[in-house]
Amino acid sequence: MLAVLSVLPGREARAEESCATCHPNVKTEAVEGVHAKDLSCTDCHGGDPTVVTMESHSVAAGYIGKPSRVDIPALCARCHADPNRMKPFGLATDQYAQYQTSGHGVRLAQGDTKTAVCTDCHGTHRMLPPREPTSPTARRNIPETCGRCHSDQALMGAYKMPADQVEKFRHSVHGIALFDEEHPSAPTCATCHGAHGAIALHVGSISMVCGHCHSRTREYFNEGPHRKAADEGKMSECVSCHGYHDIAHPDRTLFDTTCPSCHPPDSPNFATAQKLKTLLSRADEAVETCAADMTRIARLFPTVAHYYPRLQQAKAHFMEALPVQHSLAVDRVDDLTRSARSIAEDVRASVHGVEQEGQLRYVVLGGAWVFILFTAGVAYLYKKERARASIQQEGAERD
Amino acid sequence: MFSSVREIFRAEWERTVPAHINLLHYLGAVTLIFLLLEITTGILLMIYYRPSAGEAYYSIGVIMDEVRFGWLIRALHRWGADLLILLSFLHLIRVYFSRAYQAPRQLNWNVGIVLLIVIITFGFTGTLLTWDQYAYWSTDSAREIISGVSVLGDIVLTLIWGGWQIGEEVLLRFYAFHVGVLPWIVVAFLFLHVLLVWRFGIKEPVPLRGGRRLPPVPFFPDFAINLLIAVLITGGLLLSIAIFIPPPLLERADPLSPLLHTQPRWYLLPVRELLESVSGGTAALCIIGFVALLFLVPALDRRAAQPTWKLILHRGIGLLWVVGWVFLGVRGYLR
Repeated sequence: MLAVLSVLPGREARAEESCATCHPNVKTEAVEGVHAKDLSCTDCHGGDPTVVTMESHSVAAGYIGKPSRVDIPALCARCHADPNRMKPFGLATDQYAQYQTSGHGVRLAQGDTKTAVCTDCHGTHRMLPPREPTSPTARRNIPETCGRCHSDQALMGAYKMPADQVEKFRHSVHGIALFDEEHPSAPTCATCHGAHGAIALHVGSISMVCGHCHSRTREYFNEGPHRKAADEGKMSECVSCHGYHDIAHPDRTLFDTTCPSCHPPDSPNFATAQKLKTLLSRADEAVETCAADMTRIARLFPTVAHYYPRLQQAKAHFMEALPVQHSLAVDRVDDLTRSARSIAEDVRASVHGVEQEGQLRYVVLGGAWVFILFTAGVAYLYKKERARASIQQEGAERD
Repeated sequence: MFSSVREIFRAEWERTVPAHINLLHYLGAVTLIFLLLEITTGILLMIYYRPSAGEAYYSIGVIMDEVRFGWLIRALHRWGADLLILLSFLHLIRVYFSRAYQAPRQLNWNVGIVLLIVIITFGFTGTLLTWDQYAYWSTDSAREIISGVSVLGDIVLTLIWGGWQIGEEVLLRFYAFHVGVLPWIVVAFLFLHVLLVWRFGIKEPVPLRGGRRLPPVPFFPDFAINLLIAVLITGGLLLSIAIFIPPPLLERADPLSPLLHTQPRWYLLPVRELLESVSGGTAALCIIGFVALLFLVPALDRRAAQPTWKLILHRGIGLLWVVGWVFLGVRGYLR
């Protein structure tokens, strides 16, 4: 079969084809795909496109029909692994090589036809590029594409694999970033597991994957005592504390729920965790309180906006402490959180000073108006009195 | 010498004003007080203001946040300027409708027109000094509009902008105008204006129909008390505005981030609207014609006694000016 495939010539220009006469629906699909301009039906299926009868399906003309699942990767690789063919399109040519090392490729080589092949993810005739929002390989659609198999309980049960990864991912911090916030850097299944070289993550390699995005956190983790524990197989690096598909936004309750799974509550290590929790909580509270006060006071006194850069400084110190905590270096976290707290408290005091001064202004204004109205009233009454006295004097003079 | 000084004081103490004057006759004196307030607050601001593109904006921040009562001085100066221009307009309108520009006060009318133009120029040059986004782009917008006026536009740009694009040089130029040139002009013309009022007094208003002409009343204390009340009330209003409404200050001027749809200050909206509604040359002619007509008003309406139709025409033209100006301003604002 491969020999037959290999002698099929690639076309540079499409000739008029008869396939659409009998297969109009397929033709309609194919026209919308990326292959429409450069490939014809016979490039993949073989046969004689010039004949309208069933003779177009003759084996002599190289007709192979619907390629078997086992043959599909090699069929696609005929072009996609050829640098000369892919050069005009700027596409990589290592997909087939990667696929052969992946869990899918290994199983296919063992004869498992239920495993994923190229068409399962990319589609068949209507192949769309990843930049198209409706493409199954568009970033936002990748979990759903993977989920076609990996959410199938019956299919995954045969491999003794769970089928809830996609659902868990959807509600995770990464899923929210991908689906709800449409963050351009949010990871998909392929980001962690690879695309064509998709493999399940093994113990020992997890922080390498997480560290692609969370590089500073990984650096600090490697400096801390958990690195040794992970190397000895006592923990699964990031997964032990944060989970994998269902990673939630980390908050300080993790110190209370996750640390005790390894460290008894009366142990020195647990005490270290609680110390870190306290430091981070206090700094977070100071920054959040300051931000809330600034928002409230800025409505009446916009000049507090001048303090926003200082508040941002406090936030920056706090944010810096978040990856540093993974090294479990209490003194370093203490330094950073103390700076954050100190700046936040300083800004808060200044902002409250503005508020108090502002309130004093209203009191002064009230006093000023009392003075104005009193003085104006006295002046008016004096004028009236003068006028009355003048009239009386004129009357007396007439008399 | 002392006896002559005493005589001068006695003469001033016994100065009289017409009895029929109403509240509108105090506009001129209140305007004078506000002009003095602007000069005072301007001098105080000068102490901390830095006239450079790199420091101007931050010096405003220092005035607002760090100088004791700096926020109040700046607010009084900013809103006081708007109030001063409004009072000047109202004073001009009052003088026009009461025909107080007639002999012997023709020169005073012309001096007043010059003062109004100088005060508006104060406002225009002062806007740029904050060097925030609004200051930069509204001045740039004005430059673009003026450049569309053939011949005259180039002259104005050369005189006021010095031919420069808005930057350090234009800021310094506007600052020099605002604190170095215009104050001398305004003080000189103000002195002349007050001297002429002192010399010729306030024009006696025509008494109400059927009313008899009352004898004049003393300046001190009658007029002075009313003036005090007017200044106190108006000053209180200005203080309230200054405290309740902080003067706006956008982000620092950024030549690379245009602020779209900048509006000029309210008193220049009619001018901008006129320049954008008609072709540059025609608009310039209209404005020059309008100003020239203002100067010629005393010459066109010389006789005190005029037939009724002429009085109606006089009032109609005045009303048309005012309504037209307000209409252009509102239209420009809503654009």
